[in-house]
Amino acid sequence: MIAWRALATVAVATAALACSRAAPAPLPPPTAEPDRFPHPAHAQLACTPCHDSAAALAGVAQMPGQDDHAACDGAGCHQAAFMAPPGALCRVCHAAVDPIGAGASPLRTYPAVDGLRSLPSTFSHAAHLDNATVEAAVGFNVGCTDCHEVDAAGLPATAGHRACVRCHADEVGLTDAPAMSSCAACHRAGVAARTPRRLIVRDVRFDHGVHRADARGAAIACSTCHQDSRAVATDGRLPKPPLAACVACHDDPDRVPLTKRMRVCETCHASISLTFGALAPRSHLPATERPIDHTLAFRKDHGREAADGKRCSRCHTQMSGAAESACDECHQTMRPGDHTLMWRETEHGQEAIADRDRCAACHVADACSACHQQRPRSHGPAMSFAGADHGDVARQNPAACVTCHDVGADCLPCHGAAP
Amino acid sequence: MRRTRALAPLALALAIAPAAAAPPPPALFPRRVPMPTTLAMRVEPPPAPPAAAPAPTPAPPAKPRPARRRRAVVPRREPAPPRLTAQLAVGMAVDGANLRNLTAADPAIGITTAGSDFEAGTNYRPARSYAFGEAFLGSRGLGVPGISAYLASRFRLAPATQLTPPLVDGWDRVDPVQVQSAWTEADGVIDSGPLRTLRVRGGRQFLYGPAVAHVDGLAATWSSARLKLGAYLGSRVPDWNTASFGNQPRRLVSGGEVALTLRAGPRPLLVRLRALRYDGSDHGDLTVDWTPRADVALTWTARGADGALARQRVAARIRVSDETRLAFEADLRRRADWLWDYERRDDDPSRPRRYLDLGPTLPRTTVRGRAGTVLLDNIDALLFAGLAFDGSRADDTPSYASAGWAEGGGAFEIRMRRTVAVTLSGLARVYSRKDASPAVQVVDAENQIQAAQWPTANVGERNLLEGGVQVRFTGGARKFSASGEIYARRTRYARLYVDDAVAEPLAESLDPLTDSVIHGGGRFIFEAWISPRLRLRTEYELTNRFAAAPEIAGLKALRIIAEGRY
Repeated sequence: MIAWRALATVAVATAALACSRAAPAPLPPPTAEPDRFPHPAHAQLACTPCHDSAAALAGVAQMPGQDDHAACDGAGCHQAAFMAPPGALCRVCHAAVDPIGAGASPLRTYPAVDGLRSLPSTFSHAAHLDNATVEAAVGFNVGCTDCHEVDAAGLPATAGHRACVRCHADEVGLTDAPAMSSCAACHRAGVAARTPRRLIVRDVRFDHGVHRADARGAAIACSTCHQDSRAVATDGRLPKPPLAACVACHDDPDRVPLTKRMRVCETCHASISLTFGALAPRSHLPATERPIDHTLAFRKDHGREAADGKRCSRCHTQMSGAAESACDECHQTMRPGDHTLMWRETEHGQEAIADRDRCAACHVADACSACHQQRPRSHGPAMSFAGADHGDVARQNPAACVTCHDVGADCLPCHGAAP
Repeated sequence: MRRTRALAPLALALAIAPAAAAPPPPALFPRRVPMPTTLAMRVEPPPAPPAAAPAPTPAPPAKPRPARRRRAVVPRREPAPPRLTAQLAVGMAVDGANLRNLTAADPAIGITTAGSDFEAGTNYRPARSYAFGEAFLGSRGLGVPGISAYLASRFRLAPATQLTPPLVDGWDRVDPVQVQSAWTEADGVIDSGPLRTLRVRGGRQFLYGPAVAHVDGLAATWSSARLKLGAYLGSRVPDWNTASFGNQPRRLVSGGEVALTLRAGPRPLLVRLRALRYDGSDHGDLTVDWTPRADVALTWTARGADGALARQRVAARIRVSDETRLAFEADLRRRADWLWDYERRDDDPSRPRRYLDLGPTLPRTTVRGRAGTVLLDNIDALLFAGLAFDGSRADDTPSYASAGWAEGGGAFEIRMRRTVAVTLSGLARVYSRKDASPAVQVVDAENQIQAAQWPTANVGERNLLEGGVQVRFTGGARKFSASGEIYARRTRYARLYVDDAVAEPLAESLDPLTDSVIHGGGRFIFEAWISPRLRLRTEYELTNRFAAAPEIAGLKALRIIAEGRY
C-alpha cells in the first residue's frame, strides 16, 4: 500500500511537472522613467526635433541638447524648467548641473547599462554576416571590425550610425533593406529590449587589445570567443562567449604563456589568489575534461543519451560508433567506481541481493557462477574448515552458508539434532 | 583588400552625391504641425493611385489535381564518416594476500584441528602474477559505405597452479580468451526504396530485448518514421560457462521487436513490444515511453514469462538542466520473474544451481529516487533513496534474500581547485529483517555440534553503513591524473548466537567473530598519456583483513596497463 501511495505521488508530481509550461517571462514594456528620458511620452514627435537629422544621415547620432537645449526648450515645451533651478528635467541627461554654469555638467550614461531601452533597433547579426546576401546587396561583405571599429587601445567600439550609413545611406538605394532616413525601419516603437549587458564586471579583467593575437602571433578571430553571435537574428542580448573558448586557448602552451594559463586565477580575476580554498568553477576546467553534463547523476542515468552510440564513441574510443545497440561496448569494458577489491571479495553479494538488475546491466548469470564455483577464501584447507572452523563463519552469518549449501543436504546430517 | 576596393567607389559616390544632385535642404523640423504619426525624418510620399485593374480574364478550368500520395518521411541516417579504430591494452597484474602466520592456538584463528588454515607453498599461494588485456578493432564505412565491423575481446594468461590463489577469479576456469563482440553490419547500404533503412548485423553480438542476450547470430531491423521492426536468431554464448555447473550452452535464442511511434516529433509517444524465446520459455515485454517534454521521459514496462506477468516498472526521468537530473523508479517483481536472467528461472526447484542460490523468486516492490545537481558551480551532488518491500506470503519458503530494506545515500564531488577534486560518498541501508528473537537464539556451546535452528529468513545483514573519500588530481583528460581513495563498510548481522557462559551476544563475548564487521580498503590510480594515443595506467589496491579469514592480513593487487588507440 505504501508503495502504491509513493508511486501515485511520483506520478502526480511528474505529470504536474510535465504539464506545466516554463515559458520565459516576457519583457516588460518600457516604463516611464521619471528621471530618464521617456520616449513613449514623446511619441507624437518625430525623431528629428531632438536628434539632428544631418548628423544622423552623416552617420553620427548626436545627443539632444547640443544646440543649447533647443530640442527641449526651443518649442517652449519645457521652458519653465529652464527658468527654474536645476531639477528633475536636468537629471534626465546630466549627472550634475552647476546652476551658475561655471563648472562642468557631466552627462549620464544613456542608455542605462543592463536596463531596458526604448526604440531598439532590428539589427540582425545573422543577416549582416550572411556574406552571400550582403554581397548581393552592396557588392561586398562585412566583418566584425567593419562595424565595431577598434580604437587605439584595441577596444572594439559599439557599432553606431556611422557604421550603418556606409551601406544604408539613401544614396545607395538598397531595395530590401532600410534606408537611413527611415528611422522606424530600424527602431521599433512600443517595444522593449534589454541593453547589452556588460560581461566584464566585478573583478574580472579582459583586454580586447591583447587578445588580437596569441603568443605565436596568430590572429585571434572574433568568432573564436563570440561563437554564437553570428547566428543571432535580433538586436537582443548576444550570447556571452563561453568559458570553454577561454579554456581552449589558455590551456594551450603554444598559444598562451605560462603566466597566463588557466590555472593562474589572476590572469582574469583581480582579487582571487592562489589559495587551496579557491574553488574553480566547472566551466573553468580543462577543455579536454569530461563534458559538463557528465555529473554523478549522469553516471547513474545516461541510457537516453547513450541511445545513439555515435556521441559516446567520440571519447570512448573502444566503442564501435554504431548508431544503436551499443550499450555493451561500455558496460562490458568499463568497471564501475565501486567495484573495488573488497567489492569483489565480499560486498557485491549484499548489492546483488538488493538489486539484481544492476548486476544484469553488465553481467550474465554465468559470470556470477564462474566465481562462485571457486572455493571460498574462508574455507581454507578442507580438513580444518570442515572440522571446526566453519562454525565461526556460520555463527556470524549463516546466510553466507546457504548461498551455496543446501541446509538439508549439507548441514543437517551433522547439525540435524543436538547430540 | 576586397572590401576596401568595394568601399572606395561607395565612399566616392557618397562624397559627390550632394554636389551632383544639389537638392534643396529638406525641411526636417516639423515644428509639431502637422503632427507626424510615424517615426520618420522624411515624410513618405503619398501612395500612388492604384493602377486600373485589368479586365479579369476567365480563369482556365481547374485541372483535377491528382491525389497526392502521402508518404511517410523515412528518417535517413546520416552517413557515418569512414573510420578505422584499433585499441589494444595489455597489462600485468600481481595479486597478493599476506598471511599473518598465526598459529592454531591463536585466538584469532580459534581452535583448529589441522594447524593454520593457510600455509604458503603447501596449500596457498601468497602472490600470483598474470597478464591480461583487451583488444578492440572497428571499421565504419571503410571501403564500402554502410559496412561496419567491430571486434571486442579480452584475454588473461595466468600460470596454472593447484594452490589457492590470493584472489579468486572466474577466469581461472574458463577460456583465457573471450570474444565479446565480432560482428559485421550493413546499415544504409541500399540507397533508395523501402529497404534503405534496413540494418543487418551478423556475428557475435549483444541483443537488447526483454533481456540482454549474448548470441552468435543474425539480427535485422527496419525502420520508418513511425514503425520499427526487428528480428534476431542465434545461439547463446556461454561466456563463463563451465561444464561442472551444468549450464546450458549453445541453445537457440530468437526474438523480435515491434516499435510504433504513435506521436512523432519533439514529444514522441512510443509503444514497443519485444519478445525472446530461449530453452522453451517465452519472454516478452511491453513498453510505453512518453516524452511529454523535451527533458521529461516517462516509461512503463511490463515483462512477462510464459504468459505470466513477471515484472512491472515505472520510471520518470527529468532533466532539469544539463547538470540537474531527477529520476524516480518503481519496480514490482512477481513470482514469475527469473532468478538472475532469462536463462535462469525458478521453474524447476530441482535444477542444479549450487554455489549461488539466493532462494526462490518472491514478490518485491522497490521504489527508488535519485537527484543530482551541481551546487555553487562546483559541487557535484547526488542523493538517492530507496525502499523495498517484501511481498512474500506466510506460506512461502522463507528466504533471507527477499527481505525488504530502506536505503539512503549520496555523493559529493567537490572541486577544491581546478585540478583537484575531493569526493565524499556514503550509503546506509537498513533491512527489515527481524533479529532472531530470544526464543530462537542459539546458546553456543563450545566444542559441541549443535542443531542448526536457523530461521533462514532472519539471518543475514541487519544494516550496513558505508563511506568513502577520494582525492583526485587531473591535469586534464588524456594528460595526467592521480587519485587516492579509501573506503570502509560496516555490516551488522542478525544476532543469532549467544554465549553459553555470559549469555550475551557474541559481539561482547570472547569469540573472535562478532556480529559487526568492518571491511575497507584503499585504491590508488596513476594515469598518464605519454602521447595522444598511448596511455599508461597503474592501479594499486589493498584491503584490511577479512573477518571470515583472519589468518590473511589483507589483499593487495597491482595492475599496470599500457593502452594504445589508433
